Amino acid sequence: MKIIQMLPTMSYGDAVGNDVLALHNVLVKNGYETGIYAENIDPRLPEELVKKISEMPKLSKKDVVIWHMAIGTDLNYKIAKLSARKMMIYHNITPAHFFEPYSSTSCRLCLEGEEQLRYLANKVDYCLADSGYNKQDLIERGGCTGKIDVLPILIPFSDYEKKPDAKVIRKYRNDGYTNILFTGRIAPNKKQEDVIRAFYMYQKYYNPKSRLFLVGSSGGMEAYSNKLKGYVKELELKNVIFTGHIKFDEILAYYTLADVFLCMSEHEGFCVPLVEAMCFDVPIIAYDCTAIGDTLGGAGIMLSGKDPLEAAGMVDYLMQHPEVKEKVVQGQRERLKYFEHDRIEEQFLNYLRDFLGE
Amino acid sequence: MEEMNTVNVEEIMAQIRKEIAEKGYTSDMLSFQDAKTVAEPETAAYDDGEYRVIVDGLNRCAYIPWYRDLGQGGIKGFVKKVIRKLNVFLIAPMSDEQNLFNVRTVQAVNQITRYMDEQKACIEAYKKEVEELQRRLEAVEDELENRKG
Repeated sequence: MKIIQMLPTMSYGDAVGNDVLALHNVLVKNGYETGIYAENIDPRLPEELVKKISEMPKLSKKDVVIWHMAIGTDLNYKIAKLSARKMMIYHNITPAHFFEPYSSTSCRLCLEGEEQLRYLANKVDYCLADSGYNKQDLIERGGCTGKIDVLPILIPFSDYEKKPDAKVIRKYRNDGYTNILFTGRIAPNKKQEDVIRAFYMYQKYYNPKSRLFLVGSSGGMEAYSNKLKGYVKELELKNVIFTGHIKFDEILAYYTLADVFLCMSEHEGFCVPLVEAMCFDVPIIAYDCTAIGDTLGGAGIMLSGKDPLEAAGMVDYLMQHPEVKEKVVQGQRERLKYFEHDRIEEQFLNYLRDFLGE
Repeated sequence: MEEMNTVNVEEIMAQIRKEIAEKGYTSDMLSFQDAKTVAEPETAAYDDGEYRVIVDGLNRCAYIPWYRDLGQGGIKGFVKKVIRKLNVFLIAPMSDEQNLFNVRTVQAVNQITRYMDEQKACIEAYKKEVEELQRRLEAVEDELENRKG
């Protein structure tokens, strides 16, 4: 029996790609015959690790396909026709309206994804969702008529123990500035403009010696990114740093430097950066929506509204009250245990064995 | 999960709101919608991995088909199909010219990439040669030293 993971695009270092790799390692470790197949493969990945879908072996009824669903692709129709048993991992599809003003392609792919999700509903045998929110969303979108279980993204925490980039650290460390961080692709659903708005208020009313790091690639979202940069310019905001795509050790450096992690995103299926912030003991302030509450699980500070002044006030409160900041970090450390690799790995194997009838 | 939430967010927020009101802070600011766009392509330091991803992406999206499946029937679909038909004489040649430009550009980028790879291989070979020459030079120098001694 083969267990094959399939996805349209295997990227290097994004949440879905990392999840695929982590699951692959678990499958290999447990003696399953497995492989990863994608239509588009990031050239940075080792050639032998991910193969083109055209090279996929013939599958029988005994085999299993794990399909990672996050966007529209014709592969959704091909998956349905495979004779193997099908398990879908639902990473969520961003609602198309977020992309409308900035990328017609992304908008179209999301709309197609929603349609294809409904098409797959009675064609997949079992679903896993990254979060409780994703499970509910899958039900509401009519994307699965079978059983759905929740399995958080498998995060390889040992990667975060690597050495952060010394150059970035040297550049910004111990200069008396308060560093506010948000990491994640530059994308309209992540609402970086609201992070900028909160930072504007923070710099204006609370602390002029402050800095905002917006860490993430703008690939494919240049129109939105340019609008954000224009916004910063017109607000005459100082010390807003768009890092663009950076290396992993540089990302680690920004987490090391951060005093507060501020997330104003309006659509997340899981939000790995929240767990990363927990890992680096950076207190989190996040707007409560979609899967944010599931991932934080009571840790961090959740905002019920998007008032930039209140968000700025909360950043200042944490900076002025180290004892409260410590309590928040303590809560995050507790929450982090829920995402421990071994625990999620065990959970995945239990779900898989149930599905296989082992 | 409730146990870990030892911070009373509502209470803190009430204090923050009170302070905001007392100090007369306001949320007035330029709206994002009214902001102008600046055209600033990312100019981060050279990253070979990222460069390969971009080139790979360029190769995949160089050809843009003008003919799209409109995917719906009914009156709306029919009207869209009529509009498409009426525009073919204008769109198809423009699309062809644009595609020709795209393909040529991508070919040029691919050529540059191959040239870079060749140069990289040459540099690696030269590096090894220099290392070998340095090793031999050091050996000769040592031998000369020994003879002098």
